[in-house]
Amino acid sequence: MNISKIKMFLKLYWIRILLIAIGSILLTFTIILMAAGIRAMINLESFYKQMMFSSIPVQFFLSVITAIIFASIYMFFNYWFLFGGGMTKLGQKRVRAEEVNITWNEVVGMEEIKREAWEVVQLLRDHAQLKQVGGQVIKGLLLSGPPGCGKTYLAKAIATEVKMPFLSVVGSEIEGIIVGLGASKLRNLFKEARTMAELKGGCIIFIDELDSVARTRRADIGMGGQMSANAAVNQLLTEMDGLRKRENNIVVIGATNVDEKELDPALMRAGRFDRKIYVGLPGLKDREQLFSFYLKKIQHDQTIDVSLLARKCVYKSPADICNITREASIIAVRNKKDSVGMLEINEAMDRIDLGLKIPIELNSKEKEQIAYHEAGHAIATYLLHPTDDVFKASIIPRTVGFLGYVYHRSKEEMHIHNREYYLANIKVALGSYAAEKLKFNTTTSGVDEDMHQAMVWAYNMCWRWSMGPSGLKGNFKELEKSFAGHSWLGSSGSNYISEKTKETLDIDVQKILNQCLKEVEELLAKEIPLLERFAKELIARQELDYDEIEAIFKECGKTKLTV
Amino acid sequence: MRKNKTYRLVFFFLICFFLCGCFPIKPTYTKENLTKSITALGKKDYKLSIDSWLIGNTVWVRIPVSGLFDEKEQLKPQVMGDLNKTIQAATRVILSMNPRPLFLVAVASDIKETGMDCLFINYIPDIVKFQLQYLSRDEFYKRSIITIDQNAFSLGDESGSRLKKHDIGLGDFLNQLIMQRLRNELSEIYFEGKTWKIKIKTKEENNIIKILAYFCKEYDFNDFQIIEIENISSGEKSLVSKEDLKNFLR
Repeated sequence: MNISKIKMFLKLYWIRILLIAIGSILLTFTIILMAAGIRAMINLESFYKQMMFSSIPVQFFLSVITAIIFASIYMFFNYWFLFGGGMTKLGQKRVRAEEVNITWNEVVGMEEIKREAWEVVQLLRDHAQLKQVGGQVIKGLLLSGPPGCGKTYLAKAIATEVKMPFLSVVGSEIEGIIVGLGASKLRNLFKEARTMAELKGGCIIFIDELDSVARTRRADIGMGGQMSANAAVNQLLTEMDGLRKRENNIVVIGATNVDEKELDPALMRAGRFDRKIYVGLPGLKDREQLFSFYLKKIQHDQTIDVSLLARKCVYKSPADICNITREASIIAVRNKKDSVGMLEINEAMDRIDLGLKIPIELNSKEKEQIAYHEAGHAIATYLLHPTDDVFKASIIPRTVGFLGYVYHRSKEEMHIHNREYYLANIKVALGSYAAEKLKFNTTTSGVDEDMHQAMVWAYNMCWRWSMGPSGLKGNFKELEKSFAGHSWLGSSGSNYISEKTKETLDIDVQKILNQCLKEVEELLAKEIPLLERFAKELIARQELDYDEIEAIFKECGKTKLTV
Repeated sequence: MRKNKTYRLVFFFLICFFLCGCFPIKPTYTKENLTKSITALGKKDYKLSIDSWLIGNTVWVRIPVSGLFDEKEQLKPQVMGDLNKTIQAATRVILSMNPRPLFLVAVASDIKETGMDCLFINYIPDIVKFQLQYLSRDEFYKRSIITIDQNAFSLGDESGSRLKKHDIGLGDFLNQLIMQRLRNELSEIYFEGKTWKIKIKTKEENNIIKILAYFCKEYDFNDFQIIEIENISSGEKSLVSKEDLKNFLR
């Protein structure tokens, strides 16, 4: 045997050699100590020998008690570290499928989404069969969509249906102050899931707010924070589809509100989050179902028309609808009523949409100004807006509408809008300015938010959507964004649009605003009796509901503009 | 069958293991070699020249020292240390023999300066109790008699031949112990036949009877018929029977 072989042997097995050496030394010392002890015991005088032997049962008993206590503590901590996740698991939720207990029938208001999700449930249920035919089990399911649309609820229902252990964690809890803690927590989470999967045949990990741990990896700017975030993403990538001795039936369900594009592309590839379901806002039928579902849970007036409620709640999420019914029940209790009626639901909707009433005392002049201001909005909406209905007008100060508001929106969800829609929006916003000018020959600062909105729409029409009167085409805003360099201090502000073009676009914005204002002014000048009537009615009643508004317009012989 | 045997064997060893304290162990020392063993142990383990004698049921051990007291008229620490070691050596031998004597007297004899002896007298069952922690250190020292023999017999006595060695009886030991504890209240205590005669200086008889009752109970001493208490200031006498003494503690 030559020296190089010995060196190689030492290099390969140095840990073993070290451990054996330490073990041998310890064993030798133990033997020496034991021998010395036995010798000393033999040499003891009879009295002390007797004393020692007599105390053996007591010593043994104490040792057993101590050992039991320490073993219990050790086993508790071991169990906690292995199955409870240890320190890194603090604050995380661990729920089993039987504890989740949300049945498929309880998931309402997302029929289309349920159909898609059911497919996933079937695949997870039949994973054994799938493996037999050589197919691969789904590794990840991404649920994306706006908040409050039932992503978590759906994930829990999937877990219940599949009858697998369900480990739930919130993305924000994974990241911590210590670099690498996020990766460590993920490692522990998957370790526990693998144990569960071995015991129960499978496991579902639900990561809520997935974007907290799955944002696109970037270079660290030197503070270490990005490194930690990158490490967490890398760990997630490895756990989902990395080098593993054995594959387990673990399915990761992630829920996020952010756009898929903002998540790391490696996570989105097949083999990781291979299934994606968009959980969006409910449609008309879905909202009806949701209202029926939530109203069943409370005492309510049987005459409540859920289809009317569904129409009134356009763009409302399931969470909003749940909140409306809950808030309505609270109002009913406060009003000392046995059941929830339409009045309570309307009040609950106002409270949620428009905020709480503010106890501000307005003088009569202010009230008049606000009433004409809101009347301008309402008339412009009713007579000029192609899609929106006026649902409410109020001069009661609230946290959202502040001194007054006109609540208008379309009767059904709209996902795309034309030029006329935006022009109508601008006209509605400028209705207040035109009404104030027409009635008082002056304007107030109350138009601040209206002007802001009108300007934003006009700006977007000209700069982004090629809707300007000059005929300039292109998304100039996007151009600026795409070519601008990024640095520590934000955009570098590089200029790719000529000053002339900018000037033309700005002129277009003003042209749109002026044209819209002119049209609204003309309309209100023509409809002075209607303006007066509406404003006076508003001053008298403070708030006008949909039916009352309709009645005023009908009395004045006006019909809603329909396209 | 084989399994049964193994179980029995394990059971047997477990029983032996737990009951090993109950099996008799052959005493290390015997009555015959007691004095030699103490001397040898003192020489080997404590580097002391200890003389020892067994008189009846009393073991006498003695170390010659040069001067008993320091300038403050207290026992020299060196003497105290040597005396402790002597007691330890004697105790080790006495405890590991069967049957044990009843009393241990440790003597430090000043053979150079004064010829006085310092005596520590202990009841050996008390030493056993102390070793087994049935007695606190404080109570153990309270049960030790410490006396100074002021007769200068030991001056130049290297071998201890002039030391007045005698067998101590439980009654004498208790007399001295009670006297030591009640030095301010007692004048004299002795036995006259089966009558325990106690001469007191104080009117507080109850306290004295309480102490007597306590020691009689602790040392299981019954070798008397009656106690005669004489108050030397008033000349009054009172008698206390064994039964009264027992009832006193109830």
